Amino acid sequence: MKKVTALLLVGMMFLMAAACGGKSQTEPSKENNAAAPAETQEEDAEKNAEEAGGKKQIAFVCINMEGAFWVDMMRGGEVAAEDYGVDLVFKSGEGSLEKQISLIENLVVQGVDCIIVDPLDKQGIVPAINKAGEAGIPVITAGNEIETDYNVCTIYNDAYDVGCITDVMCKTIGESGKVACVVGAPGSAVSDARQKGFEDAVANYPNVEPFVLPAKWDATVAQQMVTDLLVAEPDLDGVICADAIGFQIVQAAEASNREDLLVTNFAGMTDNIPGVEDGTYLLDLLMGGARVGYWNVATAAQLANGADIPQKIYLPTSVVVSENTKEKLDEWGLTDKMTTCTPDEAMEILEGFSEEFGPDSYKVENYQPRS
Amino acid sequence: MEVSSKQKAVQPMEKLQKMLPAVLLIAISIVVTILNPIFLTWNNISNILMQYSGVAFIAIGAMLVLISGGIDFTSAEIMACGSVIGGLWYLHGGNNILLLILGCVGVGVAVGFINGVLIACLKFPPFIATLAMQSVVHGTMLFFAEGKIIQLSGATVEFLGKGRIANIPAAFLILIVFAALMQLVTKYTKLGTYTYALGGNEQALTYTGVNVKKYKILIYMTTGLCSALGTILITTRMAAIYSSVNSTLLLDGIAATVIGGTSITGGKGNVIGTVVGAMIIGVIGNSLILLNVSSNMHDVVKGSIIVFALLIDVLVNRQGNKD
Repeated sequence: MKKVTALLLVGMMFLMAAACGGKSQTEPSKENNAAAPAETQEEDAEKNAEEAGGKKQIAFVCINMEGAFWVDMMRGGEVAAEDYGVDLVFKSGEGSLEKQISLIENLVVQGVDCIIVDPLDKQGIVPAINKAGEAGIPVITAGNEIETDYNVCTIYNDAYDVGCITDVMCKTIGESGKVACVVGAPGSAVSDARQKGFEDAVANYPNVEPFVLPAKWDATVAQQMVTDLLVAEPDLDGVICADAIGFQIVQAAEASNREDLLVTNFAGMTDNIPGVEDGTYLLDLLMGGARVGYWNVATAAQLANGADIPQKIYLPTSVVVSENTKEKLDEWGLTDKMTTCTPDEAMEILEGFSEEFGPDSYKVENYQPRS
Repeated sequence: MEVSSKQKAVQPMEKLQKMLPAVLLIAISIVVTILNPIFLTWNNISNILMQYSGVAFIAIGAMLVLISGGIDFTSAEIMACGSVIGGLWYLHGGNNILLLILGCVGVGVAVGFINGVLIACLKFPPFIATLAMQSVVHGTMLFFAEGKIIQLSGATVEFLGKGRIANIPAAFLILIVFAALMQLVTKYTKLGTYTYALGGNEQALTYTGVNVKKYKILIYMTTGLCSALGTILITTRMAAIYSSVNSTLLLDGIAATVIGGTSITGGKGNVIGTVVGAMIIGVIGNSLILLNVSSNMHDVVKGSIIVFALLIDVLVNRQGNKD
């Protein structure tokens, strides 16, 4: 009996492995298929020659490969790899810094041309970056400000942007009331920058009482925290999301009969942009997963080809608002402070990352900090 | 028989252990109400009941395996994988909520079955078996999810997630019915009796000729079912399915069980205590927001209360051994 059970289980494992293996094998072939229609025998020969000469190898070490933003980021990265003619592999750190470090060490041994890492820990990743740098491999630290001799930081104007969003929220509620900001996890560089942006900006409005809710990047926790806060502070006027969790905050508001609660969303996910038009969200911040992925891989391709890139470059972002809100921003004199776009324009930008950061339009001078 | 004689020997500490969840819940509630009277409003209490009913389902499942002397680490992954697969069926089936329920229950029971087979037939230690399965279920979820966020809508989703009957959250009423059913199962069915007996003395149970394998598999399947039902309540409350794991669910489920008086060494535990345990977890989270305490303290407070509950468990066992 035990043997039969063991055999059955082994069979199941094989089936699962086949299912999963099937998928991973299809991924590279998908890339090949995309290029296939245009390919002639000559092009094949060219391609082989190019491969022999060696396409630049770029590796993207993620924290993990879950979540809508990440999957979208990988999609953008793959398009960039095609546009720039580089080979791209994604490696998952599986949520562990040790795993990220060992991945980088292996990549150094393999001798890739550029490594992009979204580090789990700002300090902990430094020795691995140094090791890569000493081996002559440039490293991009995505979304994190880390200072070593070898890395380029592809970062966001997080503090500034959340500050602008806070301004819009505070002005909308007449500079008086209660506003909460849902951040990620304290200690995370990205979350801390966004929290600082909120706290610094809200300090300019003495009649606005601020609340900070660290939801650990977890949509369930965010919804629970805001539901609880709406009991404690039934007259809460607005919630600023520093993560793409606006939908959960709207759920919390609806469950508490607070459909009038103002909610600002974040990260500019394509599914969420229409919510700005219909008034579900007061605004969104245009970043876009695919756009971020494309920009990072494009930068890596530039570095791999020996381009000179400043140590810190910033993703161009804009605040997505409806026409009505835009008029109000004009009245309040906020439009000089921030770049804005309408939901329609946002959708165009989100899908046009190939033109925005493509080989012909990539310009480091466009990726400057805001202040 | 054996179980009841053991119980008699440790009466004073055991009584304390049985009373602990209720005492803790009342004590925390009194302190928080003094500091912020809003805590005791029905609006707030019903929110906690609504939010933590799903966790209570998962805790009841965790309780069953703990009583039987096992453990199950797959509950949070069942939520992730079940909701993703159910969610995809829901999308393809023209927003049919029954497909979502079917997907969740199917995944929950299937994972429970495999856990049970690994543990009962192949004698894998439950700790290792369910840890390995955690990884398998997680990978399966990622395979299907591809990073999608699935939004749910419709009257049933609304009712299960946010509905109220006579101002009592529907999710909580469903929990009460389910808890009553599970109370009957644990008290009056063979499955219940053997669950306690397995945790008390598995060897003895085997000698009596009971088909231990069958009941072990059934226990893990029931646990999977509990996780799946909890998933349905949590998912409908969120009205969205994310292809990521609820970071606190596994700990909350096991913590609620232990706080609720289930012995980690098996053989002891009850449904009412577990439901109260889940509500204590809810009250802790809620009160820290009401009192404007940093959410980092949330983990510290939750962890401390688990340590306290474990301490009582250890003391009860020690006294039992002496006697």
